[in-house]
Amino acid sequence: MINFFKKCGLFFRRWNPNSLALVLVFFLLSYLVSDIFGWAKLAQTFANLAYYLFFILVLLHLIKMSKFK
Amino acid sequence: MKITRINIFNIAIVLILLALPYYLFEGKFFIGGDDTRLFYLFPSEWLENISLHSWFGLSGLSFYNPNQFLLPLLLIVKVLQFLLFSKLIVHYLIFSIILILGFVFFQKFLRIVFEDKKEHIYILLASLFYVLSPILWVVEVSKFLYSIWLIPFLPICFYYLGKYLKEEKIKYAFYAALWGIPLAQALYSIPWLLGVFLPILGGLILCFSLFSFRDIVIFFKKALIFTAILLAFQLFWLAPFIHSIYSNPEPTYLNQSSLEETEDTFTPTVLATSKGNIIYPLLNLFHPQIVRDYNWTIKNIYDYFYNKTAFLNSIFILIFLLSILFFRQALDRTEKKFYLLSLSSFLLSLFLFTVNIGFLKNIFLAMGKLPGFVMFRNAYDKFALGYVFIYAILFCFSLIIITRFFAEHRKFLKILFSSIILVFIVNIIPLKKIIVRPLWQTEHTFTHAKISTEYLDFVRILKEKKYLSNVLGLPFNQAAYAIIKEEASDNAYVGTSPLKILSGINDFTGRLSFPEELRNLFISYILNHDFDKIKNFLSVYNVGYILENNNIPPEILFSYLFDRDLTSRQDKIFKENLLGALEQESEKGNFRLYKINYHEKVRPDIITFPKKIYESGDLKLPYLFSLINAHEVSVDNFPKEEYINRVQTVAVPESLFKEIYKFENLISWNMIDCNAYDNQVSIKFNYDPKQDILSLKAENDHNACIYRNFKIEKQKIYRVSFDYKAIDIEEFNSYVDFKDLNQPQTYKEKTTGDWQKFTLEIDPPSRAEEMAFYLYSGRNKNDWAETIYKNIKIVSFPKSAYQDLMIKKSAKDFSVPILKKIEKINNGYYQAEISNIRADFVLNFLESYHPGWKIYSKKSLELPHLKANNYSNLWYFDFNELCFKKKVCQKMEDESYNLPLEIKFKPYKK
Repeated sequence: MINFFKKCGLFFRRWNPNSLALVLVFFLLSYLVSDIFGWAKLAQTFANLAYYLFFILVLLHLIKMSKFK
Repeated sequence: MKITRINIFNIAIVLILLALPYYLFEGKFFIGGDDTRLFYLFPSEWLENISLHSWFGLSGLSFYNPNQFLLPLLLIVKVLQFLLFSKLIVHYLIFSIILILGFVFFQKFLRIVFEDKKEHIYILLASLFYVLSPILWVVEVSKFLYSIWLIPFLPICFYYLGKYLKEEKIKYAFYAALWGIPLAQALYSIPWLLGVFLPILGGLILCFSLFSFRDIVIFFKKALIFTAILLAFQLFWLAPFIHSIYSNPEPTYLNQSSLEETEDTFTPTVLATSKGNIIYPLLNLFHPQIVRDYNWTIKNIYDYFYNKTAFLNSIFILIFLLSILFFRQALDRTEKKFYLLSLSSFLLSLFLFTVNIGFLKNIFLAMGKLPGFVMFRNAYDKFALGYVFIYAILFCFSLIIITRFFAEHRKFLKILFSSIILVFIVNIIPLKKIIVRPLWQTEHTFTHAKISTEYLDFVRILKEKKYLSNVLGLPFNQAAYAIIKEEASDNAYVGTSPLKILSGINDFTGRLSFPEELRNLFISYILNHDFDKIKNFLSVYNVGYILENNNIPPEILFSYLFDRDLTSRQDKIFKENLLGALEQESEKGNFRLYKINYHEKVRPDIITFPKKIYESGDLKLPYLFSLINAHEVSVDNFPKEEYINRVQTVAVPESLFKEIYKFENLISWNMIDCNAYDNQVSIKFNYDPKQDILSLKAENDHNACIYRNFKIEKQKIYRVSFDYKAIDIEEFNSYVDFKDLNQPQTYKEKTTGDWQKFTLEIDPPSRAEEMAFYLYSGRNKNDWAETIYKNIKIVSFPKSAYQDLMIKKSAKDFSVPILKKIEKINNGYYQAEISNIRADFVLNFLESYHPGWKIYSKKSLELPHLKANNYSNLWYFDFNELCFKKKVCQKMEDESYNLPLEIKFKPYKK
């Protein structure tokens, strides 16, 4: 089990979570565009996706920083 | 203090915050609305009539309501009023102090976190972000409830906790505890407090792997010691508060969250209010969807201002995103850990504040099943403060990251900081309109007002009279408000009635003053001009006087506060029938106090002696108002049946009974043979809709039966009723089954061969969710058996309606002693003397029932204590026991006995 976590840790260490931040910016911009055109459902979806991504981003950073190395 | 640029900024902001209420409220008091803020104005009166007592009510029935958490604040306000000679200046000072303390201590707290010795501007900006957040102003400041005190309390608490953790000196825990005393009302705002700690706790759990186990243990150990010391200093109000939760026979405040009824409102409330998304909260603005959907008065501010300036606030999102990108380069290892901790907490609080984030909404709804979580059903309110607090910390982190990352681009930083200040300024432009809003459906009536001196003088006279009966306010409004017009303008104070606070006399001013299940009943009496019933009703609640207000601005009379039909029925005829002698009149005649024109046999008082009482089991009537005071049934030797009928027509609230089913066809019923011992089909089902007659027939010992499932609502009793005629059957049967619970109930009755009435009351087991109700043809071994039914219907009504009317023996006559003396010492203590005791009697004490009310005559009498009229305290006095065995009575010359009494609310001791 610990080995599994170690492997996961290694995987994420090599991976740069910041690339996700660019996707995040894309989602936020998409939200803005959908909102301007009045596509409420699409805007809501992009806002939700942005939140999920935020969360994943934070988790990735947490894993990278954490003691499972 | 050094004179630095930051300090000059700080001083300027503090001065602005000091001046702010003068700009916002223009010399008037910020006191209107549901949740009264009158204690900021009348601390002495509040101390005298409310806060020192655990038993009180405001514009409604009293209950066990410990309020001691306000004592320190009231004393401070009182001293300030003494020193500054002005209620207004003190009132405004309090408003400012909340914000100033929040602003100052937030900075102190951040300096501890970031070990900032140079006093950087980002800490100042983050503090401004905190106290000037439009979310905070829309949700918290505009309502100005007790939770507003969390604005200073949170940073103070976190500051001293930080100091304690860093310097390991216990004195900081005591400093926090000392601050906690005048801020006790912040701790009383438990849901909002949890709204801050839940996301932080979640963040700690997410980040546990960042810290060593030893650090975590030390942190929790110290946090525990800190909290224990803090709470120990709060025991002066916590102890009675906790006692009240466990001793209240009826739900209040905290234990409301465990009520099924409240649980029922969780999902609908969440679904109805959580329609926003994460973008506006990220922009540091409140959810516009809620404002729009519920037509809040600030809707215009969104339409014409915030929706147009929102793009400026995207600077906050930009800073936030940049900080995520650069934090690894800009922060050291420890700072990174704390940054991730605040980021995790922030994301959790963003979710809790928004809720509506795809599948996460379902998780939130599922959390509603956790005990107590229902208090967060209006998440947009409860989590707002926590969200802003955590966002402000994260904002500070973000600014530090950006400052460090762009340390060499000083120009860029200057532009960035100036832009942030500019956005702050833009955001606070509509502040006045957010706070100072007109009352719903009015244009000129605001939540800030002055209370007219005419009213204050009038109430002062009433106070001296020491009335023991309650007062009914007219015109009767839809809330429980008093409306007191200002002398110099059309504006009026509209809010919780100050009568109790200022005079100690309780008043009933509107619908919400009366118990929920009886409000509509009382209103229907007014609409029908049913004066006997009105008086019956009022006498049960010890209402002896009517306070007529002749000076309500027309704008308010036509607002939601007054129902037009109801107001128009409080006309001349109404007043002629209700108003008796004029007791008191205010200087300009705007307020008049009348005695109620009761029948001469009825004297409303805090203590009455009913002549007759029936058991509830005997009567099966939910609310027997008239039993105790009503003149129309107080005639001696009244035949019992007629008595009951009269009471029923007077008292049973039709509104309580809800028809849930009426038989109209056989479609939804299952038709089977309930005794199918062979395969011969010899059963018949027939329904004649014209005559509304259902016929069930069976031959040769078969039994034609129909059944149908009904969903069961919790805490309801079901009454099935129909007429039936059984032909060639000796015994009539019906049957109820509660699905999987295996607790069927069978009901049998001898038949007469003629039409018979059948009424069955079903009290379903608490775990039952569905019941199946069966009707049979009956069985006859040799011939056809037939039962015909008509008028089949099922009604339901609340279980509570049945519980509380009682007494030892049914239809017992009691002797009527005389109340010789009664004196109210305070809300929880009365002294009385009863004379002319010659036999058993019952004493009805017209305060809300609570087991904490005890009756003494030198020592505790330990009498049977019961609830009368579903409302008041009733004691049964056994003449022999008291006067001969316990010898507490005094024998008089005329062979009767006297009994001196003390009635005390025991949890409160004088």
